[in-house]
Amino acid sequence: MSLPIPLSITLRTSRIARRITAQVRDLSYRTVVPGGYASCSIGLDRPLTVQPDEIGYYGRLLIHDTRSGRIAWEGRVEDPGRSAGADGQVWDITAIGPSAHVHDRRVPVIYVDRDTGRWQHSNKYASGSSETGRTDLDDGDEPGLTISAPEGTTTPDGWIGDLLYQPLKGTGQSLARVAGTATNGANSPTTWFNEIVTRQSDPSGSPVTPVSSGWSTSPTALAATRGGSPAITSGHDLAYLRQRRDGSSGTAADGAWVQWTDVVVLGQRMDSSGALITSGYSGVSSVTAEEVIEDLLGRLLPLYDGPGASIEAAPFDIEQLAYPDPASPGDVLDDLMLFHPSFYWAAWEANSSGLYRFEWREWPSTVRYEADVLDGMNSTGSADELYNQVTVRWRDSRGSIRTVVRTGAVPILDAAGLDRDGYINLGDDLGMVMAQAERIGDEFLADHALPRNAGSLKVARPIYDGTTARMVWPWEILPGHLIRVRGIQPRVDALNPTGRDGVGIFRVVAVSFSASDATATLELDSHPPSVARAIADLADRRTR
Amino acid sequence: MSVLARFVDTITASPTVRLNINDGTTWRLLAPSRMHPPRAKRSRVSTLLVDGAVYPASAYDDRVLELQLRVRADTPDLVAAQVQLLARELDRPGNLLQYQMPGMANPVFFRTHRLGLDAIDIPSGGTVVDLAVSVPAEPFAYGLPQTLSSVTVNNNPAHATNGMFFDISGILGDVETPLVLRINHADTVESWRRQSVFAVRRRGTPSATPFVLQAEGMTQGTNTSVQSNDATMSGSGSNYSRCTFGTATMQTRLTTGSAFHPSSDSVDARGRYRVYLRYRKSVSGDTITTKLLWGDVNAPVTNDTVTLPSGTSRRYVDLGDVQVPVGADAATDLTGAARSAIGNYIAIQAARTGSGNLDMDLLLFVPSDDRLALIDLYQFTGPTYTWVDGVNDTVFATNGAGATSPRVQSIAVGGLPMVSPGVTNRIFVVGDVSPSAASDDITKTMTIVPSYLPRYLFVRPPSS
Repeated sequence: MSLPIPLSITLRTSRIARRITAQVRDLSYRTVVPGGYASCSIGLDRPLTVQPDEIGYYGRLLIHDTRSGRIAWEGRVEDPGRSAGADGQVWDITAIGPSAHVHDRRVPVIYVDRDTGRWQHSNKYASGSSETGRTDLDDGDEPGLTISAPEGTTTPDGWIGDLLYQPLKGTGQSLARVAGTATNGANSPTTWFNEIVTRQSDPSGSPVTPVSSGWSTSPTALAATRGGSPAITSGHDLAYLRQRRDGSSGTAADGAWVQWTDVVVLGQRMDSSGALITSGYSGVSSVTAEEVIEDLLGRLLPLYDGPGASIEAAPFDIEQLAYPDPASPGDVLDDLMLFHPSFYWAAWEANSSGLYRFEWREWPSTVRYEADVLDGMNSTGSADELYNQVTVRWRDSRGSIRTVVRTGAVPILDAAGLDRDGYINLGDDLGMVMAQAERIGDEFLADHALPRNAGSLKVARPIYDGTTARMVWPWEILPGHLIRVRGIQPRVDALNPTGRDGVGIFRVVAVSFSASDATATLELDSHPPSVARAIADLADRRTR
Repeated sequence: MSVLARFVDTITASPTVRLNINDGTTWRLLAPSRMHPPRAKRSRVSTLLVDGAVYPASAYDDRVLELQLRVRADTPDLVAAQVQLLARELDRPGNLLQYQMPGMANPVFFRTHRLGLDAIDIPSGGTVVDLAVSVPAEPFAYGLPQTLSSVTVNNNPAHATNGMFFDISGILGDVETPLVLRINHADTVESWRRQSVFAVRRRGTPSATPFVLQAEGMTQGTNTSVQSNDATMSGSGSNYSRCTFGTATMQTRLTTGSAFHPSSDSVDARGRYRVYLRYRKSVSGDTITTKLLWGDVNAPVTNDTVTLPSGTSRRYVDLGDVQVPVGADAATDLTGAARSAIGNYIAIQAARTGSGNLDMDLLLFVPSDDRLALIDLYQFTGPTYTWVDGVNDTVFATNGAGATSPRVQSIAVGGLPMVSPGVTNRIFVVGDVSPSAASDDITKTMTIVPSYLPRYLFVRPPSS
C-alpha cells in the first residue's frame, strides 16, 4: 500500500471527543472469538499534572477506517496508566472491548432445574406428621422426591405434606413451569391428592393450587405453566409439591405416599429486549441456547443491543442449566459453548444508541479469507489436543456423582493405536441428565478430532475476503471465520471445505494488529501456547 | 537577492517577523545550511519465501533543517542578545520558519518543533558567533493559504449543478493536503442533530463515479411500481418507486435486471462504495426490513438485513458496502494499464410487518475507498459557521469574526476530506443520514467555502 495506515483514533468522554491520530505513539489492538473486540493500547503524550479532558475511566476509544468511516475497533478506557521517564510524560492507555461486559455482573439465575436436592421439607402449611425425602425407584436410574404420611398415623381432613422449591426467590425470577410425574402407593382418587402449589414470596402471598390430581398407582404427569393451563399466577416464585388429604379423618396405610419423578422447574425468562416472556412454556422441560442468550441480553447485558442481536439457532434441548450460585453472563456463555463448541459469541461496534452489536453464531463451514504464508507463519500442530475418548463427570438429580465415557474416531490416534482420554467436570450447573453429559462429551470429541494449528499467520498485504467480495487489508481481518492458507500441503479437500481441516483451513480465533509494522497476526484454531496464556486459562477456570 | 529565512507568526503573505536569520547585517544563513526533504518511514516485511519485500504502509517522517548561522554585532553583549533571540524562537513549542530561495516567486513555511542549539562556535573577540542548529520540522513545507470560491451544494443528486458534490481542481502543492470546509451554519441547523457524510474521489475521472441509481430507473420487482411525480423525491417525471407489500415476506423489490450499475464498464467504476437508500414509510409503526444484494446475479453477495427506523420521514439508510468489481480484482494488465471494471447486479429486498408502503427514491453509492467521514453537526442556532477542519482534525463552530463558539461538540468519525494536486477532486456531501432525521429535503443547500494549505516536499514552483 505504501500510504499511511488509514485509521483514525478518537477518545471520547462526557467532556469532549478528540481525534488524536497524529498524537499517539503507537497503536495495537486485538479481536478474539469468543468475545469480539478485546483490547487496545495506545501511548499518548500528555502532562501528568492535569487530567486531560479526553482521558477518563470508561471513556470511549474508537478506531475508524478513514476510507469508509467504519469502525475497526472500539472499547472503553480501563487503564489510563501514567509514566514519566526518558520518553517524557506519557499516558499508556489500555481500553477493553465490549466483550468485558459479560463479566460485569454475577447473579444467580435458574433456567431449567432438575436438581431434587433443591426441594426441601416445608412446615409452613404441612402437618406435623408429614415426612419427605429423596428416593430412587430404580436403584439410581429414577431419582425422585417422596412425601408420605407414616403408616399408622392419623391423617385428618386437610392433612398436608409439602416439598418447597425456593431458589427462584434469590434470582428475582418467577416460576415459568413446574412439572413432574406422580406415582402413589395406593389408588385414592377422591381422598388423597397430588398437587402443585405456588405462591409469591415477597410480599408474602397466599398459595394458589393450579394442579390437583387424585391418587393413582399409575404414573401421572402433572404440570403448571405460566401462561398455560393449568396456569401459574404471575409473580409466583415459590413452588410446592404437595400431598393432601380431603375427607374425613383416617389412618395412614402402608401406601400413603407419593413419589415425584422427572421433577423440573423452569424459571421465567426475558426476551432480548428485557420483556418477560409470559407464555410458550407449556409442555417444555428444557431450554435452548438461543433462549438463554435472549434472556441474558434482556436481563443482564444492558450494554448490548438485545433486540438487534444476531442469534443463530443451536438446536439442542438443554435439560439442566441452573446457577443458584451467582454466575456471570460470561460463565453462562462458556457453558453454552460446552454444548455447542461449534458456536461462539462476540460483541462488536456500538449503534447510534450506544449499544453494542452482539452475535451468537456458528463457525461457518465456508472459507472467508484466502491467504498465503509469504509474510510468515508458525504452527505447533500439536497432537496434544487430540482425544478419542472423554470421561464426563456429572451429578445426577439425586446428588450422586456419575460418569459417562464417550468415544469417537480419530484417524491419527487410531492409526497409532493410541487411546487418549479427556476429562470434563460438569459440576452442579450442567449435569443432572445423562443425555446432556453425553452430548457435551460428543461435542468435545468432535472438536478434538483434528490437530489444532495452535500457531499464527502474519499478514502484511491485502488478502481476499469472500464475504465482502473484495481485498481487505490486515487491519480489516476479523476472527470468527475460516481462512484457507496457501503454501501448505495442497489437498483437494481444501477446495470443498466443511470446516477446519487441521492442514490448510483454519479457524481464525484472534487477530492482533499493530500500527508499528502495519501487520496483523492471526491466531489459528487455538491460541498459541505461552506461559501467559496458561496463567490466564488457570485464572479463568471455575470451581465446579 | 538573498535567501529569505525568518521566524514569523503566521502563514500569510505579510506576517509579523519575530527574527530574521538572514538579514545580511546581523544574521547570515551560511552556505552549508541544508533544507533536507522529509524521509519516508516504511514498514517492510520480507521472508525467504518470495523475492522482494512488501511495504504495507509508509508515511513521511519529520524533516530536519540544518541551519548554519552567523551572528555579528559590535559587542559581545549585542551578540549574546541576538543569540538569546534565536534561543527563544527555538524554545517555542512550535514555530514557523518562512523560507524563500533567491529568484523564487513564493515563500514556503516550515512548522518547526522545539529544540536547542547544536553548537556554538565563538572565535576570539566575541563579536562574531557561528551557530549550528538542526531544526526538526513537520514533513511538508506549507504554501500560503488558498481559499477557494464558495460553492453551493444541492441536496439533490439529480440537480443540474453540484448535486450532492462539488469539484476542486488546480490544487497547489506536491502532495495531498487536508481540506478545511467553512459551512454556513444556518445550512446545518435542524430540529434534530444532522449526520452528514463527506467523501472523496480523486482518481481517474471523478465525474464518472457511479454515484446515484434512481429507483424508478430500476427493474420493478414484487409489488413494486413506479409512481407519478412527487416533488419531495429526486428526479423529474415519475420519480420514485412504491412497494405495497402484497406479499409481505422478504422479496426482491428492485433490481438492475440484466444490466449493471454502473451500466458501462470503466476504470472509474472500480472502487468500494457505501450504499444509502433514500426511502419513506407510509406507516410509522410498520416494521420494514431491507437488504442489499449485489455482485453476480447468479450468486449475489447479501449484505446485512437492516430494519428501517420508525417514522414516515424521508430518510437515508445505510445498506452496507459494495465493491466494484466483485471478487478478486486484477486491477491492471501486464503493461500496468488499469483494467476496466464491470459494475454490479444490484437488488433491494424488503419485508414488512404492518400495513403500509415503502417508497424508494434512489440509491447513493458514496465512495468509501479513500476518505469518508460521518459528522454529527451542531443543530442549534448561534454560530455563524461550522468548520470541518482537516488540518486540525476537528469540527468546530465560530462566529462571523472567527471566534470559536461554545456549543455541544460536533463529532466526526472516519477520515476528513483531503485533496490532491494534479487531479480533479470530487467531494461528495450527503446532507443527512441520521436515523432520527425529521425529513431529508432535496431543496436544501449547503454553502461551503473550501480552503487548504499547499504542501511541498521542498519549495514551491511558481505555478504550483
